[in-house]
This record gives sequence, C-alpha cells and structure tokens, in this order.
Amino acid sequence: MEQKVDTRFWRLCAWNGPLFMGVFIIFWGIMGHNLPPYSADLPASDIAAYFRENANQVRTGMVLAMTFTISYCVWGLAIAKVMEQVVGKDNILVDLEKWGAGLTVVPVLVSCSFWLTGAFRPEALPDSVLQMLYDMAWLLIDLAYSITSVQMFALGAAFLMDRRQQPLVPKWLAWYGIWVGFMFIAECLMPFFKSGPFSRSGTLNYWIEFSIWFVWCPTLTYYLLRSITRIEQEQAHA
Amino acid sequence: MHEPVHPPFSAGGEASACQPESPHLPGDSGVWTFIVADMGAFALFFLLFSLGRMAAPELYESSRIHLNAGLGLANTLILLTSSLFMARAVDAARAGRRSSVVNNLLLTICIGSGFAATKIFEYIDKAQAGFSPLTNEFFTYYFAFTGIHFLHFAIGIGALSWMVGKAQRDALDQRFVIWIESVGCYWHMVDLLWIMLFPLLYLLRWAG
Amino acid sequence: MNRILHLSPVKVWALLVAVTLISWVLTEDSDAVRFGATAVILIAAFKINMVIGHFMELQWTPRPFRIVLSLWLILVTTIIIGCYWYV
Repeated sequence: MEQKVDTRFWRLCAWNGPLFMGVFIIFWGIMGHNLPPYSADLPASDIAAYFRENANQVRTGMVLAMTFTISYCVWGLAIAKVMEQVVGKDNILVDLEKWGAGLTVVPVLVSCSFWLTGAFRPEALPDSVLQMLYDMAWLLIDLAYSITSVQMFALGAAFLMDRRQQPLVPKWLAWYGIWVGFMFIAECLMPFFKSGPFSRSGTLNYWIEFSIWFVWCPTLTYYLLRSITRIEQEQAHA
Repeated sequence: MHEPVHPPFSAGGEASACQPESPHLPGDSGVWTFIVADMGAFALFFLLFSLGRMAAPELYESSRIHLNAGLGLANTLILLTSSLFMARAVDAARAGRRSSVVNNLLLTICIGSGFAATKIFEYIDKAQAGFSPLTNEFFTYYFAFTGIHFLHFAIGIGALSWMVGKAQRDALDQRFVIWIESVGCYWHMVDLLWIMLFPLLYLLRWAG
Repeated sequence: MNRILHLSPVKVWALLVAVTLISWVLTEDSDAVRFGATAVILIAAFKINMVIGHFMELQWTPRPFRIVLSLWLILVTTIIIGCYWYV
C-alpha cells in the first residue's frame, strides 16, 4: 500500500493453514477417533473401553495435534499481513482477524488436553469420568465457534473493501467465509441433543459445519499465496 | 422500465460488465455466493425434514396439527407484501427518486415487522402450550428451521434500517443501486425460503 | 430490446397473493389430501420461481445464476414431493 513491505516468510506462514488442517485430520480426527466422533448417546462403557484399549494411539494423536494447534494462529497472522495491503495497518478489522485466529487456538488446545487426560490413565478412571472428558472436549471445541466467526467476519469484510480492479481475494470467497461463520451458529443447538442432525456427530453440526470450514481454509490459502505474489509484483512496478 | 445498471466495481471481470446490452446480475456478485450457499443449507433442512417425516409420518402429523396455519398464512402474505415495497424501493433508486426510496424502505421494514410480531406470538403460544424444541423431532425441526429463518429475517431488518440511513445521506449513484439491489435480493431470499417452509411445516397433511 | 415479459412489481405481488389464497383453499379441501398437498407444494414452487424471476430480477441475468437457482428449486420440489409420496 504505502510503503514497501518485506514479504519473506509470508508464504511459509500461509502454508500453516493447510498444515493445521492436515494435522487435525490425521492426528485429531483419525488417531483420536473424532472423524466422526462417538455419538453422544453411546453408553459410557463404550467410550471408556475405547480410551483403555487405544490409550497410546490417542496420546500420540493428541500430542501432535496440540503441538501443531499454534499453526492456526500463524496462518491467521499471514492473513493479517495480506489484509493490511487491502485496508491498511490501522484498520481494526486486521486486529479482529488476528485475535479471532489467535484465540481459536485456546479452546482447540484445551479440548485436546481433555481427550489427552482421558487417555492418560484410563484404567484408573471410572467410565462416567471418561465419558465426561470426551463430552467436555466436544462441548468446548464446538461452542467456541464464535471466536472463529469473528475472524471470518473480519477478514471477509476487509477483503470486500478491496478497490483493486481484480481484488486480491475474490468477493465470492469473502462472502463464503462470512456465510460459514454465520452457519456456525447452529452449534448453539448441539448441547441440547444426543442424537440427530444437531448432535455433535450429526449431519448438520458435524458433517456440514466441519466440511464447509474445511473447504474454506485451503481455498483461502490458495488465494493468499497468489495475493502474496501479486503484492510483490505491485511493489516491483511501483 | 429501468435500464440495466452496471456495477462500477464488479468482481473478477464478469463478462456482463463489458457489454452494455447484456443482462446484468442485480446487486453485488459476491452477495450471490452468500445467497446460493444459504439456499443450499435450507435445501438440506428441507431434505432432513422430509426424511424424518418419511420415517415417522404419524408423529409428524400429530405434531403438525398443533401449528397455527392461519398465522403461517398471515406471515406469507406479510413477507410477500414487504417484498413488493422492497422491489419498488429498488426501482425508485434506479430512477433517482430519493423520497420514494426512503418511503418504500420504511414500508418494507414496517410491514416486515409484522412477521416478527406474529412469530414471537407464535413461539410464546407454543411454549405456553408446552411445546419446545425437545418435545419431539418435528418440533426440533420446527423451532430450529423457523428460528434460523427468523435470524435471517432479523439480519435483513438490520440491513434495511441501515439502507434507510444511507438513502438519506448518500448520492443515489450506481454504487448505491448495487447496495440496495444486494439488500433487496437478500430480503427476497428471506421471503422465498418462507414460501417453502410454510407449506412444508404447516400444510403437508398425511393421508394415513 | 427483446425482453422477457416484465411485469410491474404490483402485478407480480397480486398474482403471488392470489395463488397463495388458492393454495390455502386447496388445503382446506379434505377429499383428496395427497393431491391437494402436492398441488400446494407445486404452487409454492411456482411462487418461488416468480420471486426469483421478477423480484430478484434474475429473468434478465447472465444464465449461470438463473440455472443454479432453477436447479435448486427443482431439487427442493422433487425432494419434498418425492418423500411425501414415498411414505
């Protein structure tokens, strides 16, 4: 925008988005048995048996998931850098995006620690406690949605303000992100149901909500990487 | 009859922006992503409801008869009428008639508010009769889908109120026309979704 | 300019209100429940098509959006009527 910016490391940070996603699919999702999660109407003994039989697998999954949770924040900071080239450094939207991305890390990290606690000494804990840990983790990770929504609204609004002939991030993607952030509101219904589409493993609150986000993250990263190239070219010609 | 207005800042070089004779997409092209995605979500809601109904027709029918179809009909007429004034506000904006834009927007909001009044009355009435989203699957869907629709409605009222202020302050140029067209298309979507929600929830009887 | 029929908003509104009332009468008729219900959904689909075409003004749009919304309408109508009859 005004002065030349140093774009080194921006790409590396932007790649942290897909990295976060990949890590979570493999370690949190598959190894931690959250893809899909155990249904909330399963008896406590089923969840307890799972923790006891697969303790090491869950431990490994959660340790790696927790290690890489911060990459979501790193990705958010890369987005902020590109946003600054659209709305300027002083715009509050940049701060909102950074806080939204940064704070998203907290509930993800804490809920992973609950699953890890369950896997730490499952043989010594009663079934109901293991079930409670599994429930707590899911309630926290789902109901933290509004933190991420703030990030999505802020970056959507900022990229819509782009006055370039061809915006850095296309308008449809900005609007799509705003829509995803808005759709997360259905998670408010999740604590009231143990089965059905609104439950934690349901069509809407699990499959749809997670899928629309999982489409958004890599698509935005693709446009971020292209934007960085365009910003470098704009500076070279300035 | 209005001439097509072309967006001064159309996204990513849409083909339509270059040829004056070609048809144009009302509103901002990005807003349409939101509208199409949102309609997709409601298509899924309709599917979930229809499948649920298929699995338990008696339950759905015995729950449906507790809904007040008269209020649903009133709300359909309210939203249709509100949409009419919205369309008139857009036409007025294209013609540059400021007072007409403001008046039609205010009518859109006033008539639209009737929807909120009816809906709130209906929710309270249902609650007093002892129905809640946890009563059964039918009422879960009834409260969730009409509730999410109501949220869309409320956001629409907010956007319309903001447009009233804009219409009083800003120049009625092409950018303003794009703004009002975008809000208008969103408002028509709120109307359109209710047009299908109403018969699906209130009117579909089970033949038995 | 060769345009598809452009009805004024008031005429569109009057037509929509009229078919709404017709569909209301259809639901009151208790003899042919299934056909009445099917007709009500089809009328709703017709109304949505009018809203898309005339209020949203997609009658005069670049084709892709009109096609997407038409497909949406066909899909939704098919799901609702299909599931209704399948019971």
